[in-house]
Amino acid sequence: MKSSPRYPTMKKTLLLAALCAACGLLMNAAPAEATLQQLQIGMTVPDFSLKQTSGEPKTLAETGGAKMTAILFWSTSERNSEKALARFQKLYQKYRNQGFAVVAVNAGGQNTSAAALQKISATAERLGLTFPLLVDTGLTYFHDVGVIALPTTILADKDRTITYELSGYPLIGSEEMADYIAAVLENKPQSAAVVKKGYYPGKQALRLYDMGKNSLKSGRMADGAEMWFKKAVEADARFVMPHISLGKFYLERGNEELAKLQFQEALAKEPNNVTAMCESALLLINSGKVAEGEALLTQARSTDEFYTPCYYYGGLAYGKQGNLADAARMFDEAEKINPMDYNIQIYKGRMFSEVKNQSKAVEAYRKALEMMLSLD
Amino acid sequence: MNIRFVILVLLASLSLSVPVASAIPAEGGKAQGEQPSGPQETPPAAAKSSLDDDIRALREQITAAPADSILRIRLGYLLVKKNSLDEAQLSFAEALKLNPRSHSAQTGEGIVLAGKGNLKEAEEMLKAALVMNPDPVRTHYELGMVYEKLGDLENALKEYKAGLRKHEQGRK
Repeated sequence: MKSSPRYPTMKKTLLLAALCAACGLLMNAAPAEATLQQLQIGMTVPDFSLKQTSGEPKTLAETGGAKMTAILFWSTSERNSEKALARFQKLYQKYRNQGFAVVAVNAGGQNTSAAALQKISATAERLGLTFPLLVDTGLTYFHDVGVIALPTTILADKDRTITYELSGYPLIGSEEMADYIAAVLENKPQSAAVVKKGYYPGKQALRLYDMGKNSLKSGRMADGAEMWFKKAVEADARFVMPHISLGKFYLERGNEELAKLQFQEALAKEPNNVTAMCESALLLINSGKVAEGEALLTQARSTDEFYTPCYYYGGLAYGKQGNLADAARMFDEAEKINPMDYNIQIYKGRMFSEVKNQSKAVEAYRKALEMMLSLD
Repeated sequence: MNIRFVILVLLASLSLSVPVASAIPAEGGKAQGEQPSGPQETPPAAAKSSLDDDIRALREQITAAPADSILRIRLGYLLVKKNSLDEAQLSFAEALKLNPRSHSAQTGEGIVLAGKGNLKEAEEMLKAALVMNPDPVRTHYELGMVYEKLGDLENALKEYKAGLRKHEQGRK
């Protein structure tokens, strides 16, 4: 009797093991740490008063769900927004009678023209959306929350506490989020990947952190923010955002050494904190260690592909190296993720200034101001 | 409890009442004697019919309060948005008669002059507005635009960067 040809057993086993390892890595990939610039899981989502396309104003209290509210920031010019909207329509239809509400906030631009409103309504009709569609004219709420990418989803409980956040609409991340929604609304246990997604800082630490943020916003009390952020860290040693805020505070005051220490503290507590990684990278780039900075940015982008600073800092790094093609690619990627982020234009301006292209630098800075002033 | 801590808490809480500024340069600060008659408004949505409605509403308010320079300044900016430069210029001129030290009205006047192609005069007016109040981001932007149109990229860059710095500092 002849024996049939077979793949060596060892090779098959190794291939299978490699596939399993890859799947495991994908399923348990460290969660994106930089969905929002002003908020994180455990904090309270701010209220809003935004108009529907009909012009009728709505608040979070009026549109929120008894058990869970999904706030979806989206744009008609962003490719994944329709996928997110369509998926949420299905979730809404399934769970609306179980205390689930969805609010879609269009953050498509500073000014909302009649044509833009028409596009929003057309999208709603095409996708058969039945949840409220609000328009964030002036992008006030967008900036209040600190949205980085579009689409971005925030899930909040009945007390408006953020329980989940997702930047962009990645394949696996969006499935995890849908699983989380189902688990909460059906009172089922959550998967391990979801449970480890966020750390809830202590209430006292959150209060102190909010005091720091309010000090910064007030302008005249801004210097007092340092004390509040430090107290927030004292109140909860695991709370990372105060370190990020302190780092940015010191950077604005030109103290790069203190800023570097704060970002290092953040990374010591949360090694995958993409904000700390990108800010540390920028410090390296500014100190002339461009290649080192770019390597850190590449690592950061692989952790969170939707955090725009990692791209526009990268644009600056490539520009400093004379690689204008890759610099342009980085800025383009950043604009695809968040066309409303005027920092992209600021860093473009910086990059063009570095390469002595004055006219392009002027154009970029002008665009940044137009976005800030809602003149675009 | 440390008394300094208590005072700081109280002051930080009071600071929560700071109003949100609009894209129209805010009055106050270094300019003397200016009392806004109402809350700052954000510029209206760009739909043409609502712009005309806002203009109409402001004209009615001005009829009721003819000595209010702030209303005339707001009207001026809406007319600029509508590209009615001559009417905007009249509105800013009337605001300046009521309040010669209004940097917002001077900025508006500068914008109109630039829009009409009188770039050198626009430059002077906008620089004068910045002497009154160096903070408004809009004024730096408009002056930057004038320099850009004049081909003076160095000064354009300087003004745009100044505007960005002011914005970062929370100036409006």
